Amino acid sequence: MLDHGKLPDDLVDKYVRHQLTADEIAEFEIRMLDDPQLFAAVQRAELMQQSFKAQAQAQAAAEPSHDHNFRYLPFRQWIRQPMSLAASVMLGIGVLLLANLSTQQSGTDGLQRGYGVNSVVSIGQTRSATGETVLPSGTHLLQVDVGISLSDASYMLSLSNDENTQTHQFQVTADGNGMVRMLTPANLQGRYQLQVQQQGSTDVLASYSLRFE
Amino acid sequence: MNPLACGLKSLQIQYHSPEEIASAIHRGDKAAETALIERYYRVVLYVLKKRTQDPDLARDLSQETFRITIERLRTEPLAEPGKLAAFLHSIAGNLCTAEVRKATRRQTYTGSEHVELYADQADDQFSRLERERAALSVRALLKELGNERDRKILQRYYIDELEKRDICEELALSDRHFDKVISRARTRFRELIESAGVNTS
Repeated sequence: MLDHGKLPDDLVDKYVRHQLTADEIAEFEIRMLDDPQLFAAVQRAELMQQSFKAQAQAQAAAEPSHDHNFRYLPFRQWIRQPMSLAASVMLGIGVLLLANLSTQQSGTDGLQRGYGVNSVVSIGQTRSATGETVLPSGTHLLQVDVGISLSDASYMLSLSNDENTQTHQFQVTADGNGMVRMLTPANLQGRYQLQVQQQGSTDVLASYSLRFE
Repeated sequence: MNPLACGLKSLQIQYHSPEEIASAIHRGDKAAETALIERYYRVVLYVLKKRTQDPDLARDLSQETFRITIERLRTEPLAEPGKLAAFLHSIAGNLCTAEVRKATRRQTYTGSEHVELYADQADDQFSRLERERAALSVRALLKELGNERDRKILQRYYIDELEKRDICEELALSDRHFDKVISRARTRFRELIESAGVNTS
């Protein structure tokens, strides 16, 4: 329904640009029949529109290098283009998928990034060390002094409980200072014997008592 | 018969309203029939040209519209004489619709480009002159504009046919500024075309 007060110029422009509904057009044209000034305004608006377009065409024809088909659209108009809308939706989905993937990758798998230990324990620092080493349950880094060797010797470290029902073996190589190192399993409880043997030999080079509480 | 060339003048008796015209035609007043045509013919023709996009067909349909209206008013008065314009509009619309249906049924496909060429050649020379003068007026108007932004507003509105809100958003304008530029352009355009002898009233 049109406003039956004074018709604004933009309504005339809407009529000229075919932007009214069928009912609004009929209403407008009926009013125009009885209003010579309105009809004159419509003719002027139409002439103005046509003249601007003709002027633009003449200008474009005079500048052949100008890209007539290229113009910047306001964002609201741009997003309404079907291809722009489709591209924006695809981009949005891509961003969501990437974010989801990144969350999955940053999981709690700590073994690939590092391992925490409760303590570092040096065993056999002095040749006369005797007695039992008491450790709380958990993972410990044990350092054992096996003595400096001129060759790259390999050693077998064996950790066994008193009943010999549980044995953990570690093949290690001594560093330049004659030290070998191993990580204790986390779930050890009670007394254990740590024996050091050279690889390939049955002779026990050293034996230490450990107690996990 | 071209209604405008009939030579009859209704100036002796002035009909000030549609009701007067409708009632007078029903009483047998021939001058009222001429007044009807003088009052409404141009707009009816304009509306039919806009719908049919065929000036010759629009003229034929316009004449038919007035023939039907006058015959109807002679025999039977309108229930609402004040709605004479709506009655005319309705007749014109129905004739246009019927003609479109008839044209669709008998449509043939022979050398359509020749038909278009004929239509161009039939273009009114006077209208062409009017358009040329109007184009010059637009050029003068654009030259008179003080700044590039105003020129851009007019380009976006009249050439690209964007909506007001889109133009205001793109160019960071207030509604008031937009309205002022467009209104000034319309007024100036009217001054320029009237001084160039183009009569739209």
